[in-house]
Amino acid sequence: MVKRLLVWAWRHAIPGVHPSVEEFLTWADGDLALPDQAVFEAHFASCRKCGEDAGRLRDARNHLPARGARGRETRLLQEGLQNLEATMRVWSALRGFLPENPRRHFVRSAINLRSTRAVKFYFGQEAANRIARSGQQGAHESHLLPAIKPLFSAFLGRKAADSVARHIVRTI
Amino acid sequence: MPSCFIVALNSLLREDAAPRRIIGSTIVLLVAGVVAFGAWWHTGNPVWIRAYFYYPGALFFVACSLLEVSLSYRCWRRFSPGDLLRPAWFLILLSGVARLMGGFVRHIGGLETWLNPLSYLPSYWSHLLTQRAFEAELFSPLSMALLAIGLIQVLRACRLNGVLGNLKPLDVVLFGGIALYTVYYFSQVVLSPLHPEGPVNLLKVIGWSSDPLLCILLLEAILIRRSTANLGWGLISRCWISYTAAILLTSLGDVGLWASANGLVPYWLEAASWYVWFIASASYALGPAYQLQAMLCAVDEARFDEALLATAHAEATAL
Repeated sequence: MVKRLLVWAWRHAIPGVHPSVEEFLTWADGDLALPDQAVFEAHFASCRKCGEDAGRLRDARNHLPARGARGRETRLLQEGLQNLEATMRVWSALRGFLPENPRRHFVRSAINLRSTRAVKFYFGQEAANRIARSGQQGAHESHLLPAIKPLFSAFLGRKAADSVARHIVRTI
Repeated sequence: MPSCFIVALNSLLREDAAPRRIIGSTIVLLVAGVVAFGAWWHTGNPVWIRAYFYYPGALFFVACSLLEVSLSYRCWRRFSPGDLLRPAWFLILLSGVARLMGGFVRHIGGLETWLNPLSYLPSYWSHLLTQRAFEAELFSPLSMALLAIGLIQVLRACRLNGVLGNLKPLDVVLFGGIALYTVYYFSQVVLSPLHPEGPVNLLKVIGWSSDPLLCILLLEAILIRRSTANLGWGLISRCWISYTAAILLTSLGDVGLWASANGLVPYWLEAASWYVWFIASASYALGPAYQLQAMLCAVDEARFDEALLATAHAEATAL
């Protein structure tokens, strides 16, 4: 318990010491410039917790091409990983860790547009803006619906969250 | 004209119109309160203000608590077993039940009015039981304790979903002020060797726990407020903002009672603090009302589409 508290305090009290979720994802995407990559690798070597997280994320990435022969399973894994990344981005966005200015103009897909409108109606404008920004962070616009469903599940219950997801998809 | 009236009436009677009904009835009650206060001020006859607080005022407290219990029960029933906030809503429901019982005992059973069933007993028993009911302090701390545990679950849900806010310097000052008041109250009333309230019993100890519980509730309310500030003004945010407002107003009312008992505030401010309790009571009922409205909208496709269309229209207007 004390150890967990210390890890939490260390991670949150001194920003920049440990990489944020967003930096982890950027590192996993291979988007970091070379000197930063080296800094991260050095940190992962010295910090057990971050090293484990990075290892898990790298394993998941490396696992996909190895399964190339089994197409359906690979696609499902790929989707699962994308959804996980989108969920992590939404979480970071809601925590306020993402940059204020969107890279591109708002969301493009109809499902994402309805998803952000649902977030705006249930949670508010600020939450919708943050989540919309999170959809623009990756190389491709990620699907927001699987990423925002846990938020609806938590505050409205699973039944209502399922209904919201059905309504969002049904009318497209 | 009659069709307009029927449409307005239908919209008021809709299950999801509870927030509007609560806000509307609170405004009507407050306006009536201002009128009663004015009449008392003008005529010097206290019967105006007494009648206002003893009849519509007392009934409002009980009606708000009753509505809160009914709406919280419906919210709780709509969560499935295993849902993150199901235990929180159960605790909020129990807290509402405790508040309802406290309201009934104190505002109906504790006042010598026609509404009080005890007033129809023989004079001695009526007076004794009414006095006991007025002094009953069991339900308020019980309700606060249950709500505090329920709100911990809500904060947990906020943390898990990345929306938990951080305390700002102003929050620390506000919380510090209430905490100092609690420490002062304890030093003056509870820990004082010259105990002014007579022998200590269990009911008295439970009564003393109100202020520390209010401190905990206030801290939770501030954190929820900071978390909802990260979200905006949606239905779910409004639900939790209502609870935050209710807790803040309860703290304000509590401090107002203490300040007026010690003669620290001018009379007009003291009188204003009496009305704070009505808004606090209405805010407690508004929380589950917004939550239920959100849940009903989620399961009804037509309402959901209507809400999304309204959101899209608002976006287009803003552009």
